[in-house]
Amino acid sequence: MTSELLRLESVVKHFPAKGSLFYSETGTLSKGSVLQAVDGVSFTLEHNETLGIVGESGCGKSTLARTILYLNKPTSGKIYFEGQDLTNLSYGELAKIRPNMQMVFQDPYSSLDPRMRVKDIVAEPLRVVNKEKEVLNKRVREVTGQVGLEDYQLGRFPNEFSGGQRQRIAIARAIMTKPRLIILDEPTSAVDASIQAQILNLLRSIQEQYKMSYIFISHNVDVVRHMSNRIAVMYLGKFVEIGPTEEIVNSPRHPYAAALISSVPKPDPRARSEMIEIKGETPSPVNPPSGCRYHPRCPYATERCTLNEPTLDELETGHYIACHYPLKR
Amino acid sequence: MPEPVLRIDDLTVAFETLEGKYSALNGVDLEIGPSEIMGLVGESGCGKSSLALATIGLLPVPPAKILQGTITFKEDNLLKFTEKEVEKVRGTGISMVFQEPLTSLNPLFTIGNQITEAIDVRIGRENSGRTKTSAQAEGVTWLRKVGLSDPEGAFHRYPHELSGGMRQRVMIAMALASSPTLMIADEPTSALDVTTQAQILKLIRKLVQEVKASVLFISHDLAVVAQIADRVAVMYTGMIVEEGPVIEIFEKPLHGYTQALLASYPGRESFNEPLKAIPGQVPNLTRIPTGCPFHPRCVRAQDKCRTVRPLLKEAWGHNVACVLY
Repeated sequence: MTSELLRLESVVKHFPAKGSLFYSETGTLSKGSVLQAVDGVSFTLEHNETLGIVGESGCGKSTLARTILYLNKPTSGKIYFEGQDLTNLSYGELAKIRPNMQMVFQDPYSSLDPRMRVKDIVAEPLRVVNKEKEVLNKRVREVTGQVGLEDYQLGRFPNEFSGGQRQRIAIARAIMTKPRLIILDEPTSAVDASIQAQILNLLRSIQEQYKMSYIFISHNVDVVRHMSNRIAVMYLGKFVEIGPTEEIVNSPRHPYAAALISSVPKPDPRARSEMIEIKGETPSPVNPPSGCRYHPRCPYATERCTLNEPTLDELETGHYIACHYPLKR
Repeated sequence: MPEPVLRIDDLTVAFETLEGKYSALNGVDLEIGPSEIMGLVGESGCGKSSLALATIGLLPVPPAKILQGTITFKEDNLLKFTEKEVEKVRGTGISMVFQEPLTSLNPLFTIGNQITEAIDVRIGRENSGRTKTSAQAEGVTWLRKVGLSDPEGAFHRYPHELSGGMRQRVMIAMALASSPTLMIADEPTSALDVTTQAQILKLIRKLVQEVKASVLFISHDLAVVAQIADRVAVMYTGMIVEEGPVIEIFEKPLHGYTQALLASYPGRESFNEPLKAIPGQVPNLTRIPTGCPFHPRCVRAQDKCRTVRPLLKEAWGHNVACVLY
């Protein structure tokens, strides 16, 4: 790891919450309510590093991913990619940077156009910047070979492939432009159990080959652990803990991180009673709790937690925790 | 050994499709004992759900065709039952919890309406002479038992007003309120978050002990099955390839597929080590390989694996379908 590729500074993404789609327990919303999908996220990502992001549905993981790629304009905050502040760039300047950032989505059944042939799907990201047929064809054959597709399959349509093979197509498309960063949003959760390891191994080997950085989003801590150098735990739009993989997995310090990690079932029938149960349900991101957002569910919460929001502080080298009373290791 | 609650013998089911004969179940043998949680694990399209639907008599015939076999529930062969007789078993004898509670709850009726229906059905048939008011009280009791924080309030709410985890709790309440002998749970936690999943698994374990029901717990996730099952059956291409006590299956797997699946799971390797991936693809059920269906992907495959289809037989305290034992 040499230098910084990506830096986020207090990135916020709020959505207007109008109408009755997101209403709170107590009734309807007042006018001007906002859904705080991402609320003040800061981190840096090095070259060739993988940052894992774990969290439950609705915690803002996917919104964060879209915001980093600048598919959503952040409400506030700065995003630096290779030193350039994306929030200050014009549309044309952004278009020049975009080939360097790619994404692989969770569901390869909906992320591939059913009416395009594999070779056209894979070629598309490069076709935007380079229209020479020779170059495109050569590169398509190269990347599809790297992900394990055969030449005879290139003229086929997505529906002729299984879930695992479709995810290979999506990965080929992502590496077409030799990007510096790929965001992987639950890339194996729609893939069969006996295929998952193939896809994870493929992702690791092409990362080595291309020296790319990954942001790997998943709810499966075992998968994230295998893939990541560092892990961030997200709850209601905020990072509650971020640090080196083994520290986060083996001795999480934030009570939510500890409960989340313990909830992930292990393929071991002797490890049954170790789950820390979390009380209640995740609150709505429209009216998040005051102070620490986890306090209504936290067994260690005091009055201080209901009033003051903890900041993400570096308690050990490279290990940041947002908690007034972090767990002892 | 006590008499099993459910015994499935040589069940063979196929669907006629445009692509040809889709062999969903190919000679499935399975026994579930009283108060036993049987975990059925397999990948998508391996026939898990067909087995569940056949057991509760909801398999659409046609296009499905039951070619042979028996499903014995409390000494009766369910496959010989008329639709009316199956209806009597459904709900009172065997109940079911589906993966997606939003599609299995009726959006137009309140939670209370739907749970008392399950209880009314039982009362009507047991002819215990209880009134609907007592069914209502029992409904609220069940909602409390499954851990809803405000059971009276939830009783009057509609499904869309509850979260996914809450709805699945309601489904479990409905399934158990009818005091079934067997509850089939088809991927009941797959649509939920991991923390909610942990709560629901704990809840199912606690409640089935209380009402002494047996469970057929279906999942694609080995880890989930490890957390809940007493016994585990591993399914591949419409066949049970291995079956045994949960500890045995996870600690001493015998079948090549079970071994490979457990070895490929991340968590035991060091960071720079690649995972032990299983080569190849999951076969399509219209084109199941000859002999042992797993032989093209099995590291221990021999010549006879290509031609001989192994049957489930006892070895080392498990039941395993492999010619090597």
